[in-house]
Amino acid sequence: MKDTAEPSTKEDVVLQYHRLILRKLMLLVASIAIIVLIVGLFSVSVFDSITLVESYEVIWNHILGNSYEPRTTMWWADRYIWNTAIPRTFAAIIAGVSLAVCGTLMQAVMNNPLADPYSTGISSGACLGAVSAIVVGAMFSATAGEFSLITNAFIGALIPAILVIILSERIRMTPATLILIGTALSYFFNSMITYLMVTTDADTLKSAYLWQIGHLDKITWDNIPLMLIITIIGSIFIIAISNKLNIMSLGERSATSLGINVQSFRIICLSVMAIMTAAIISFTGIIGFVGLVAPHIVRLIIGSDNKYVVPISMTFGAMLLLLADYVSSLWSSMPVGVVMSIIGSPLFFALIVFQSKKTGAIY
Amino acid sequence: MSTKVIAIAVVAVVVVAGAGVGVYFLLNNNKGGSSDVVMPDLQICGNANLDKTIDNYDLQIIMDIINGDKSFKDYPLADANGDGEVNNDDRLLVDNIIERKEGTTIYVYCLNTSGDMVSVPVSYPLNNVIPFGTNVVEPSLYAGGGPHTVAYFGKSNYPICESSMVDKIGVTVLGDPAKSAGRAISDDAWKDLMDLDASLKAADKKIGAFLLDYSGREALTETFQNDLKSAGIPVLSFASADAISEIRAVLTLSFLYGTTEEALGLNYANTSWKVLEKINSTLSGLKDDDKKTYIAFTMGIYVCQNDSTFNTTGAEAKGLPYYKTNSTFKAAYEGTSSAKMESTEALSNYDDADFMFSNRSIDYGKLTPAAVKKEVKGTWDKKTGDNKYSDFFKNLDNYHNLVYVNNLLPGAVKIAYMAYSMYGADYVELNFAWAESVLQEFIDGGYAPFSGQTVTSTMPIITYAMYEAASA
Repeated sequence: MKDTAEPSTKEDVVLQYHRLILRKLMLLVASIAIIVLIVGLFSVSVFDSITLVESYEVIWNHILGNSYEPRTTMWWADRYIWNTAIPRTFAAIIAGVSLAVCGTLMQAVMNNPLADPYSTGISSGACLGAVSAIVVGAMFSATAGEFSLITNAFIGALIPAILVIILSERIRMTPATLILIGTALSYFFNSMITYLMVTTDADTLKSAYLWQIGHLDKITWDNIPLMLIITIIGSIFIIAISNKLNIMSLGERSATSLGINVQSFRIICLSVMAIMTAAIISFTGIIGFVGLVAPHIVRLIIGSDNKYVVPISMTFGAMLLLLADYVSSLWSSMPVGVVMSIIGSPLFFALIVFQSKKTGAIY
Repeated sequence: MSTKVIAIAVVAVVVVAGAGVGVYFLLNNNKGGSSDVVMPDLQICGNANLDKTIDNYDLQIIMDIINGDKSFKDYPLADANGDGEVNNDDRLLVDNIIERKEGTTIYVYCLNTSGDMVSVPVSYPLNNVIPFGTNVVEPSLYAGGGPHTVAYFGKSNYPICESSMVDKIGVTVLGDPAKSAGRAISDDAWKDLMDLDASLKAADKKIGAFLLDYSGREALTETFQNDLKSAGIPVLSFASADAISEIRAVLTLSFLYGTTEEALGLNYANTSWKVLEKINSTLSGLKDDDKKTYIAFTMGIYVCQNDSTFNTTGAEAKGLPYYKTNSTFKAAYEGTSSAKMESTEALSNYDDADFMFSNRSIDYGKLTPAAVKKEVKGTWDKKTGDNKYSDFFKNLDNYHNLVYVNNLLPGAVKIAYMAYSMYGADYVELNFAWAESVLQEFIDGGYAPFSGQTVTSTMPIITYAMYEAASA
């Protein structure tokens, strides 16, 4: 990684080191600050009878267990913000964390800058599960009731991952092979999705299509626990192995010589990534771009050391998705996945084009 | 080693997937159910004898239960305060109800969103109501509820029928006033409801009740229900898409609105029951084999499912629901809601039904022949996607027996016109003149929606013959 011009003195080295640390800290703090700001703005946007400061007061009082006199404006603000805005912002944060850290993991494990959480066909599997539930009513479990869509999407997302794991026993799994298998599976699932969608009526087609684009506006508190638990467990695991991800980025032979069972490690990472991604997209639909872009933007700013890229990608991904969802909420007909692409791609493009020696390379 | 790792990984994936599904089943148990119960005419707890009013007869029954001369089990609605017992508290409450004492807490016997009958406390007289759903707005207005309405959802699609509510000074429109609410309550509309409640609170007032059309209960999500519960706003839900339930809803709401409205509601109920008695007595000997079969529709191209409340009105007119004669149809349309016809051929196997009744809400006020003609053609040929409504029916053998029935009308009027359609040719007592006289009696009854209306301007039915005449 080229960072700056070669330091000439010991003082220069120390200064450069401190600058790197400061850059990391600033990105982390800025991401968290923006998250806090957007939560407040979101709250005010859904309940415009109160000010921004009052919205933080409402949130803080709710956390502390303080209540307002029933049926007053602040009492309603408390209820509405906590039932509408906060689950949605919380879901955006969890989804952003999960997708970004999975993207970081995939890019490190695959040694491929274009890898993202959906590279192994997970998104197509989830789509097929969800579209089947919407169009055909084909349920994996008849008792799932109104959560059949979520269950279908979750299990559908895991099918490609299971297939990859089974195939890994039969063929040598290089990163390129994994991506190719994921691509093949995606094509297969997408063809089935297309068939289902062209044979259905307009209303059902619209529902199926909107699910695929990605949404956070239907998230309720009931949906949060599973997303949160799996994201926390998976994130802790990925942070714990971040040193090994650095070793993986040296290449397969180097990693093997340094004591890592590359094949097994890759399979375990894929499994964790599959479960984390499935847990998110079964509720939110396919929200693209976060998993691809967030790690790259973070690397461009702070370098490629996964010890720092992993946790900071989590906050940056959360901030990015939350910002996109806030913008999408201002345009009620605009799905968050579309906004993500509109915001993220020019930003990413600018960072690539205007990267200098003072910043990290994409990869 | 790699095999072991792979095996562990596969097991882990499956276990987590299964656990995830399991968590959802545990965290998200759906409860539901309904119970068959005896329905009183006036759905107020304390109406021990289940008739049209609360009076000394009810008080006597309560006294007899307290004294042990009668059993509570035989008079479940003697429990006026819904506490599961019949005692002096119930006697005192019924005393206050009989006196129509202001400020009395009356327990309304109505549905909850799960379909169970529950007792819901409201303050008498009921004021500042918010109705949601066409099938409860109209009954509320027939019950004299216009001046008692503090807000309604979205732009009214029927401003003439609903003028007593829409034109009321100070009424609030919840949500976008330029858009109809449809079948869902938007977040903006709910936010407006919160603001309204906060402003009423500041003026030391409150929302009297949220009136819910049971067939649209899905619009009142669990979050909204919890909001209303926490704010102490009672939810009164009526299955008033069914004509008989509609009569009860009007009677009950009119009672709650006050003494003037109560007289209106009693008149409404008596007139309605007279119509039903007439049909029953005329067609008393009719066996199922002799009855006319019908399929019911709503929203143009949605087939009412077997147990839908829209489907029962035809039965009350002594028709036979088609599903009882065709097992394939019965299997295809199981449920309590409605199912959209997927194509113009959807009914091709079912065109041996004698009649097709399409429930359609048509605003009143068609005061000129040109307006009537326009409405007839506009309804019959209404566009839906690439087709017109008529495209779904015109190839059927029973196309000429398609009848659009105005859903805004009182239930008894709808029943009368359905009875006329099915049996008017065979029974002179149920002919067109009789059906019109039923409608005229309601128009003359002083109900706000009928203000300034005639039998023609209310567009009670649209038949094929009317469509042909309008198209000529």
